[in-house]
Amino acid sequence: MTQEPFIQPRFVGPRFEGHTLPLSAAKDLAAYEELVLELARHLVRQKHGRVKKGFAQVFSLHIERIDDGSAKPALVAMMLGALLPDLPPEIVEAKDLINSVIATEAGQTFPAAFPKDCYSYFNRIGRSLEEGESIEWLPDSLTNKTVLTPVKRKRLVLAHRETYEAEVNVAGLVESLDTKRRTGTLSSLENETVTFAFDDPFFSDLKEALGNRRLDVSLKGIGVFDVNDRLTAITAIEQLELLPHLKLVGGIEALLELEDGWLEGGGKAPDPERLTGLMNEMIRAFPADLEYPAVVPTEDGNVVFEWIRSETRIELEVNFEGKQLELYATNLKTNQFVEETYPQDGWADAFDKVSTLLLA
Amino acid sequence: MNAEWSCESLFYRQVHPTWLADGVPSSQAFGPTPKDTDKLSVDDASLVSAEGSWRHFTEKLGLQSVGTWAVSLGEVEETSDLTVTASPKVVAEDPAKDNPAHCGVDFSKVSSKGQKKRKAQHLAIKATARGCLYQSAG
Repeated sequence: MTQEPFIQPRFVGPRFEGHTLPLSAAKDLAAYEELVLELARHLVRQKHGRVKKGFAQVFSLHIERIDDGSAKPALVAMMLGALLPDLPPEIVEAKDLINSVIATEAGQTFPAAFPKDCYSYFNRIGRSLEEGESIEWLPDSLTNKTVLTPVKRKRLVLAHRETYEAEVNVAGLVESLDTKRRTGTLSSLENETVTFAFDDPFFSDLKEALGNRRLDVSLKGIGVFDVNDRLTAITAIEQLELLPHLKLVGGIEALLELEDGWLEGGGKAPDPERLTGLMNEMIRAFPADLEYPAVVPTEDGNVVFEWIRSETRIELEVNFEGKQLELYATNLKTNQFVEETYPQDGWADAFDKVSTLLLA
Repeated sequence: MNAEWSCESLFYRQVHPTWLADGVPSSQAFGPTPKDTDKLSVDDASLVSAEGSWRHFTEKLGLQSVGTWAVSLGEVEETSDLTVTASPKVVAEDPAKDNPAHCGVDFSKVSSKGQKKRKAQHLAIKATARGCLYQSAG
């Protein structure tokens, strides 16, 4: 087996500053290897009409080491046995052609020699990149570092297709499951319907969440997006998380973003530990048949659950300092006002009262 | 209380983004907070438009609001113990922040937290029924 240096891209971004490479980035490099081979085969066919048998089997790319300078994996070309003692010129031409395609900026013409079918490889090359990250394929170049960003990756895929793939993390209600086809539909929190495909390990959780408006799921995997960045399908689920009472818990979680001074320069941010405790309490104690309230902060760092009807307002204030729950309810139809307090663990009684008031 | 006001006179209230739920303002937006010293800030609709009120609040004062809602003088007074007083703002060091339309809904005669909540909820119901009068594009 012989080997020679091939290319040493640089992964740029905070995730790569430890000079390590996440495994997801290794997938990008595996897809790059496939493209090099496919393109080399295409170039051989163009020159010689046919590709010599075993061409693909004797060539592969290996990560030799990861150097400093963000993370710089050094890729070497490995040639197996004596069939191809030297790197075929088409492999090098393929590398150069890929670099030319990546270097093409918006408004410029793509290299004519790059086959249309090969643009779909950019669905996988660079898919692990998050916003603000990039891969410099020629980091030492003084003229063009040949930078692949998530935006450029999308443009390359869409050059000859109407959809592109990207990593996705979407939450919502499991609306349907087809156990034979291993597919389903998800109604996202933005009320978009998204189809998904799933593997057996996820079936049990998906079945538990099916049609359950109190048990959303979060799906992390590979999404298919149209030219308007609308998620149309999830082709593979990599992680699934069950999210009980997501709307309510998500509302509380959003308050973690608040900082002191959030309200016109005043406004105390709720204590993060108390918010976490409240989220856990709601997962445990929120009744299955009670509609979700709005979740809003108060100026003094408390949290209010508010049920809003056209002539009724019901507020349940979680008074952290006072260690109590305070209920205030106005019904203009009946001209009633209710004010009650409960101990801080009196959730069941407080929610019972809210349920009764909502029926009035 | 201005002699030219009637029961139908409207007073604009700006709503902070965290106090909007599914497009509806929370009752929090209609109760005075400790920093308000019992005076809920509103703008006299006879002196400024709903959009002008929002623009002054966000662009001149640099504060956050998702839009302009309103309550009428009649709705304020029917809660009893609340009054509206004109309190034009004059900012000597930055006249651009002057606000001749500024008024306060005075909660100072309401002593308990519960009764303040009751009146704020009343105003929130009325303002919500009237709808958002100017919504920010963002």
